[in-house]
Amino acid sequence: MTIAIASPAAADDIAPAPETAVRVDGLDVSYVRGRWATRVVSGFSLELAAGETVAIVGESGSGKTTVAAAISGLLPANGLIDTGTIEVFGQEVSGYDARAWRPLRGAVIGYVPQDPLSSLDPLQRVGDQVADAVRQHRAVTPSEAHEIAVDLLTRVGIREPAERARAFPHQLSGGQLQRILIAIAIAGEPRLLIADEPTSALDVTVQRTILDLIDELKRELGLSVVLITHDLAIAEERSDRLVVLRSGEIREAGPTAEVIARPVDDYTVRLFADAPALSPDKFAGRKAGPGGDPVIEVAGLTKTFRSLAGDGQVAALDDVSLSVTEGTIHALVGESGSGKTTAARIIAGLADFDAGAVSVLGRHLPPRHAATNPDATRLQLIYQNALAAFDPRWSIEASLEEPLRINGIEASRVARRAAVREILADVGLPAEAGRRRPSELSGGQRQRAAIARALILRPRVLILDEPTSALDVSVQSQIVDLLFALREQHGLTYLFISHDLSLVRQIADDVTVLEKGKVMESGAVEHVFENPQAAYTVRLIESIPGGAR
Amino acid sequence: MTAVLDAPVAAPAPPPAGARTPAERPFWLNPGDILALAFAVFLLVAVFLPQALSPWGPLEASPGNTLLPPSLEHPFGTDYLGRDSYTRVVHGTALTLSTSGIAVVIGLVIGIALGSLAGYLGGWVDALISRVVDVLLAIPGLLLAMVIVVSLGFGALNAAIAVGLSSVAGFTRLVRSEVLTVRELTFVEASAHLGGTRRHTLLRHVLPNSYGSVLALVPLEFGGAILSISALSFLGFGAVPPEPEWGLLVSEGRQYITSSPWLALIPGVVIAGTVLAVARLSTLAQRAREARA
Repeated sequence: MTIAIASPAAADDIAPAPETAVRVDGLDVSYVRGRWATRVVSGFSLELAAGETVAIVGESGSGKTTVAAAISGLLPANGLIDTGTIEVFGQEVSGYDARAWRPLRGAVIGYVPQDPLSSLDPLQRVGDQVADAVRQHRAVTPSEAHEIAVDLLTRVGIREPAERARAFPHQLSGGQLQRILIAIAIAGEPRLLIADEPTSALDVTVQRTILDLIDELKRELGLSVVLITHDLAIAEERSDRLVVLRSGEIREAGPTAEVIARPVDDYTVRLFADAPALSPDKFAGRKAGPGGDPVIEVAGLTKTFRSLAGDGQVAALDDVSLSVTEGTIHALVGESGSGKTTAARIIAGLADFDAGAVSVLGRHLPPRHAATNPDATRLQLIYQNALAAFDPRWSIEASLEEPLRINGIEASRVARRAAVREILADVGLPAEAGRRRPSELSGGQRQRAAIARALILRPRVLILDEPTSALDVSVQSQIVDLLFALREQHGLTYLFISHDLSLVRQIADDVTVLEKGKVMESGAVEHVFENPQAAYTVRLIESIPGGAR
Repeated sequence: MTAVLDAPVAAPAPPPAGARTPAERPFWLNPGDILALAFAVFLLVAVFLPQALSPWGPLEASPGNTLLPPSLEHPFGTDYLGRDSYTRVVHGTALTLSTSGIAVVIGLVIGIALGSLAGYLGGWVDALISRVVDVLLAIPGLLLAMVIVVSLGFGALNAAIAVGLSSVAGFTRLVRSEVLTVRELTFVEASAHLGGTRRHTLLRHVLPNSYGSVLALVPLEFGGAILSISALSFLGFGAVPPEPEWGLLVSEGRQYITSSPWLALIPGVVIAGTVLAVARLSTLAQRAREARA
C-alpha cells in the first residue's frame, strides 16, 4: 500500500474568475510544543473565486482544520506560519497580529465552528449573543441591535425568532444552536464563510437542513464558502472545488465533479472506495444468508427516565420489540435521543428497564441489572469510545488478560499470554501493540483492541455501539472488514447501533429504525431502504448525503 | 485498486508531516528546580550519612564556645551549650523527615481506605463516614493533633501518629470525591461487563485511577506534617531534648531570640526550605510525567 508522493496538484488551473476570495500560496504551518516544532501543513495552495464553495477534505490529523484556522486568523498561539502567503480579497493577511485581524473578523470572514453547544456562552440569552455580534459591526442602539438579531434569526430559519431569542443555549437543540452560530457569523455581512465541520455533531436530518441553509445564504448573499469536512459525500454534494489533504499535504485538488469522476491520486481513490455513501454495494457479497434462530428477543421493552426538573417522565423506550437472528448483522438506527443506546445497554445487561421481556441466548434478563455481568462469556458490548473503555494505566496486554483472569478461563499466566497474542493477531494488531497504553494507539488500533478484548471470551453475540463513529472512513472500512472476517471465522451475531444510514445500508442484513423510543420500522435492509413505509424512515434516507444518486 | 484489503490488517500510522526542530530549552533547566534538587540531595545525605556533612557530633558540647554567631567554622552558629547548630540540623534531618513520613503514610492509608469505601459503596456507609469527616474537619488540625498526642503520651513517634490521624479527614474527603468520579467512567463499567466483581473493579481500576490528585496532595501534606510535628515539638509534646529535632531547635533558640536570633531563625529557614523543595519537586515530577505521556 505504498502511496506515491504526488506533487501538490496545481491549484491555479482555472480561468481567472471575476474576483478571487481566497488565494493561498505555498503555506507551511508548524505547531510548537515544548522544545519541538512539528510541521502540520506544508505547501498548501488554494484559489477560491468569489461566490464559490471549496471543500477541504481529509482525515483527522490531515491539517484541514489548521488550514481553516490559518485563513481565518484563528491559529492558536503555538501555531506558526513558517512560509507562504494568504490573501483574503486581495489583502495579504499571513503576517497579521490580533489587532490587524480585528477589522476583518465578522466583516469579511465569518466563522462557523464545529461544536455548537460549547461555542455559545451558556449564561447569556442567544438573542443577546447575536445582538452582540451585530453591535460589533454596526453603530446601532441596543434595541435596534436586538431587532436586527431577531431578523437574523428569521433569516437562518429559526421559527418564532422573537421568543427563541430569549432562550438560553441549553434550551435549544443542536440544529437550532448551529443556526444561531450561523446568524452570528453573518451578522457582520461577511463575504467569506469558513465552516469547520459545521454538521459533524448533528443528526443526518438536521445536517441536511444546515447545509441547505449554508447553500441558500451563499446564493443570496454571494458568499464564498470554505467547507471543512471529513465526509466525502457532503463535499461531493455541496462544493464547486475540492481539495484532498493528507498529513498536511495536498493529494488532489480541482473542480469537484472532475475529481470525483477521475481521481488521480491513489489515496483519493481509496478514500472514495472507503466512503460508504459512495460505494453502497462494497460488502454485498459478504452478507449473511437468511435463516437461523433468534438469539436476542425483545418484546414490549419500556424504559422511562425521570426528567431533570423532576415533574415529568421521559420515555426513552416505548414498547420496543425486535428480534436478532443468529449469524446476521442487525442494525439499530436512529438519531440522537432515539433510545438506541439505551436499548443496547439494556440488552447488554448494563441498565435497568421498567417493563417488557428481554431474552438473550435463551436467558431472560431481570429488570434490575446485576453489578457483575453473569453473561460475560456469551455476549459482549463494544463501546463507541474505545479510549474511554480501557483503563488508561494498563497496557493493552494487561487489559486483554483481565477478562481471562476474572472469569477464571486460563489459569496460568503463560496460557493467558498466549491467548492474548493469538487474539491480537486475529484482529490484525502487531504483538508489540499489546505493550502499549491505550493512549499510544491510533483510534483504529484502539477499536481493534476493544474488539479483541470482547472476543477473547469467545462470546456468540457482540453488541457494537457506534464502533466506527469516531473513526475516519478508511479506518472505518478496515474495522468493517475485520468484523466481517471475524463473523465468518467465529459465527458471530452482531447488533450494530449506528446513526450512519449509508454504513448500515452497506453492511447490515436487518435493520430496526427507532424514533423517540418507538420502533418505526423493522425488516431486511434492502426492503427498508428501497421501500420505506414510515414517513420518518423516508426522511432519514433522503437525508443521507449523496443518497440521491 | 490495491487499497481494498482481503485480510484485515491495521494500516501503519501516517508518517509525521515534517521534521521536528528544537524550539525551547528543556523544562528541567529551571534554576528553581535545580536549587530544589540540590537541597533534596543534601537532605538525603543528611538522613543516611550525617557524619559525612559535619566533623562534630550533635551532642558534642564545647563550653568555651557558647552562642557564637555564624562563622566559617560554625556556619549556623553554636547554641547555649556550645553545640554546633549546623551539626544538630544535619543530624535532626532523619528524625524530622521520618516522623513526617510516618504521619503522611498514616493519613494516606486510613484516608484511602475510608474514602474509597465511602465513595464506592455509597448509602449509609458514605453517610456515616462523611459526617465523621465533617466533624473532624471542623476542628483545627493542630488542636486535634494535640488532643491525640496528649492521650497517647508525649514523644516523637506519638506526635507523628497524632499529626497523621489529624490529616485523615482531608485525605478521606479527597479520595471519596475522586472515587465518585472514577467509578462512573466507562472502563470501570467495561470491567464489570467483562465479569469483574465489585471488589475487583474497586481495587484494580477505581483506586489506581483515583491516586492522581491524592498523590499531588502528598507533598503538600508532607510539608504540613513537618510544620505540625515541629510545632508539637516546639510546644513540648514531641521529641524530647537533647534530641536535635528541627522544631525543638527552633524552640530552644527562641529563648535567645534577642541576643542570638540565628539559633531559631536558621532551623526555621531549613524547615521552610524543605517544604518548598518538596513542593517544587512534586510539580517537577508531575510535569515530567505529563511530558512523557
